[in-house]
Amino acid sequence: MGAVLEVAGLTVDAVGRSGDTQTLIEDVGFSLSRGETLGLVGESGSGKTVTSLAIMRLLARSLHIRAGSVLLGGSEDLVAASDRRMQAVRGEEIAMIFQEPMTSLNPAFTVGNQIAEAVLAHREVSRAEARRRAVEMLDVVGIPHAQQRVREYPHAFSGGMRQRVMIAMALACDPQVLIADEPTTAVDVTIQAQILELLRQLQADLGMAILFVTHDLGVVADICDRVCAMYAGQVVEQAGVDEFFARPRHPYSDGLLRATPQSTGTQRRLHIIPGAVPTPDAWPAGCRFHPRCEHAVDRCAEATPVLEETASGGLARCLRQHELDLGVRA
Amino acid sequence: MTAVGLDVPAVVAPTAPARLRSFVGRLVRRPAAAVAAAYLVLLVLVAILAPWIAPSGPYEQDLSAINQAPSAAHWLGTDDLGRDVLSRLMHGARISLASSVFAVGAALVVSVPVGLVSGYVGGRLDNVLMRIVDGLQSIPPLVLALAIAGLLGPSLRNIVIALAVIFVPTFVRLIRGQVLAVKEETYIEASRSVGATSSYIVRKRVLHNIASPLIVQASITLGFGLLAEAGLSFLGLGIQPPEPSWGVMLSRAYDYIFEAHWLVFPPGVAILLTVLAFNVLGDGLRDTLRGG
Amino acid sequence: MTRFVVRRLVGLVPLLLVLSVAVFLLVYLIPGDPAVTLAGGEAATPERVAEVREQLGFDEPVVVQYGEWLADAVRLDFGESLYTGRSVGDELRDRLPVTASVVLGSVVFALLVGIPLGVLGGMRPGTRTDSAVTAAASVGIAMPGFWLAMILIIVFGLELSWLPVRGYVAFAESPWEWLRHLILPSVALGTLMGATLARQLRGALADVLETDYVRTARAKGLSPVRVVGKHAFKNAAMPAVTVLGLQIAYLFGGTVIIEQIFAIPGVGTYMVNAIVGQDVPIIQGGIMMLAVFVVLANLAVDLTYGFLNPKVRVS
Repeated sequence: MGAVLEVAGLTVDAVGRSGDTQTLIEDVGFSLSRGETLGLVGESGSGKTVTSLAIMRLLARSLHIRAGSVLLGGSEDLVAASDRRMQAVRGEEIAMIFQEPMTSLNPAFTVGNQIAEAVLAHREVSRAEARRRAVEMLDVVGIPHAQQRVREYPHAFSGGMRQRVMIAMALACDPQVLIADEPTTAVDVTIQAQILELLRQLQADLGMAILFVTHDLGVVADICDRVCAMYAGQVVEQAGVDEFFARPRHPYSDGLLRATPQSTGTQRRLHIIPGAVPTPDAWPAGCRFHPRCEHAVDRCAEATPVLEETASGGLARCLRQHELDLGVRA
Repeated sequence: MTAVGLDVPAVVAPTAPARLRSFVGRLVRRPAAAVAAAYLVLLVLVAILAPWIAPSGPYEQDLSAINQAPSAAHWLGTDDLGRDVLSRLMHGARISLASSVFAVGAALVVSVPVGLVSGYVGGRLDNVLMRIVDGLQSIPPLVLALAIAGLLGPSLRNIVIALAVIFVPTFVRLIRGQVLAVKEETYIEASRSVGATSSYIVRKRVLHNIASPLIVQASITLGFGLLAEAGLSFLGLGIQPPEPSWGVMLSRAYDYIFEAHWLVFPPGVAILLTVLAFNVLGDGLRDTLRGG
Repeated sequence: MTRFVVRRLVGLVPLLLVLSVAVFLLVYLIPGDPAVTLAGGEAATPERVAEVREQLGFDEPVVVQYGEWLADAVRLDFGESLYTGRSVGDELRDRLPVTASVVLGSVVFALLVGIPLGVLGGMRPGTRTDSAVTAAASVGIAMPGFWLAMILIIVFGLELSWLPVRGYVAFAESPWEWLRHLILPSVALGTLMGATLARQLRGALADVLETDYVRTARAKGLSPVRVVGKHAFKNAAMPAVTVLGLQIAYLFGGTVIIEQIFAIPGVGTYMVNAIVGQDVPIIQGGIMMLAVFVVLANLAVDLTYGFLNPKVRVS
């Protein structure tokens, strides 16, 4: 089946006050098929959110897309689309939910109003119909007494409930793609499990593709079909979820995996990747990960690795990917 | 803000003059604030030195040259009695600035203890004081100042009193608010637990924290004081002619608005620039103190 | 909502009591024996002094005086002018529509100027447009209203002869002339409020446009007009409305000078003449009335705030 969303060579620059530019993400690419969930993972600062906002063309004014394409439905390049066309795409073709359910809803309007306006923006329907759709969507995302609650303001909802409202709003127009930017980071664990279950079920019912942005590999294992790991503005590995967890091909993926607590399996000490993601002005030469990499050798500081096919059919950006034997050791 | 709390117990506290130097250094790097500060310093110098540097005395009349437009002899022209406008403007700066500065000073002398006590003691006393502040704040400030100045009788001293009364509520509210905020800070709790007396805490810690917002508010209030003095004097309830204040000059200019338009401009522009300078300086101080 | 309003109204009673005490005690600011001063100073005849003393109730204890004054004041009876003998309440009633017209005109001008400027600056923070708005607002805030009035008189009245520079025409008499006479005073008085509004709105809008919920609104595919006009504006309006409330007191205070300059026979002119002549009943009555208006205006702002922020209504 063809990809609904195909990102290729996406490069975003930040333009400073004095006109100086700084590259934030570089040559990012991946594709997303109907009904599929792709996990976009990495530490904060790796460029995940910039990537997702760039797809939506919602970047801050000081950021701009220098190169690349975002193909919707295989043919239309959103990078070149007009502002008006992007308005039509947002919410209708690609919807997005965000990390902070507490601040992502407007406190001054009822939740019903906020869901209905998404419908009104894209469909030729009456206010009453949009309203009915809002109630229906609240019901779909599992908010009890939707008929009453549709008239309430966001402050009357808990964090988990607000995230459900966000999902209801995002899916109100049946988008082909849902970008979920850390939707479970700000809620507690039980709520997180409920939200993930809800997303999985909605995907089964509605068939949309999900780009799931997160730093939590536990969540990835739970919901994603494929994984795309980013580091310092680049994609460093792409693989099917089972393959990624069983045999990561990039030392960064390996580090992330070993830094994630496992709910099952043997007890082991959690690994910590030393240091932090370098800021875009401090990206090192050679492999960007090499200063933090325990497998780095001299040539890692000199030669720049490219994304290459791995033995198992994925992609990895590591000079030593064929020499190393990574993966969780029992 | 926690940042304030963390700033205080610095391991090596810089000495006061060093702190001041670095503060001034950061302030002057804001161009607008630096220009405003320079203008105000210059203005104060002019005010102080007016008797020596003004081209002529503020009361010197030349009835053969009345209502003259600006010329080489009289840079800003002459008024209805042939007095040199520039000289009166320079002398007027003395009175206009003095009334505003004294009024802010007097207001601070009253507000600081009242605000501290209200915030620190709290309870019924705080309630009563705050109702009084509410009451005073619901009277339009200019009207209240006019009434006070009018009933006391117009004079420099009474203008200062009238302006001080209308400034007090804002200052009290500000100080009380800061005290309440600081009271919640954990480091107050800490010093209480090692047995520091409450008055010691008020002096040391609270004063440290209210200083910044108070300086900002004082700067802005100085500008407002200048406006209010001008308003009072304009209506004849402030500085009395022939003494030159900017408000008196504007009042006089208004009387001759048909004969000599330009007389309206020197005092008006002087007030506008000075108030603007106080406000810009206040904003600059706020941004600098916030740690920019 | 009704309960919210009633609770706020009841809350005003202690405030108004404090106010009335302060206003009543103003008379004791007069140096020396007020009765002598008000009767015309040392030269006054003993009969006149006694008359004034009786009229103002100085022969009774302060508490009794206050009680009587308050009892009359709640019925809007503030006594009579010491000089003309006319009822202060009647005079205030006659002049109130005039002052209300000026204040209304000023608020309208402030909104007309302040909202577009604030939106213009706030939508594109850091740009040249924004700097221009900020600079204009700073000048507007520092500008003495009565000086601006003089410049307006010179430019539009004397040089261009477009608009009348003196007096007032009642709306009932001629709506067109009413409007023409109000334009210059409204501009002079409303500039401060407009500038303050522009500045506040600019800051608030710039902040709100950075919020997550505005991003959500854009992610929904709403047009920029709807994002700003609906989602950002309603939230940015909250701080702006608060500032408007605080400004109302200044607006009422400003009418005193502006009315004087444009020779408008409103409450302000009445007050200034009374203050110059130390006509105590007028001063007390006038201040009390202005203060009540300020309090009510602030209440209106509170209620608006409740409308803008659903959370306030609940708590």
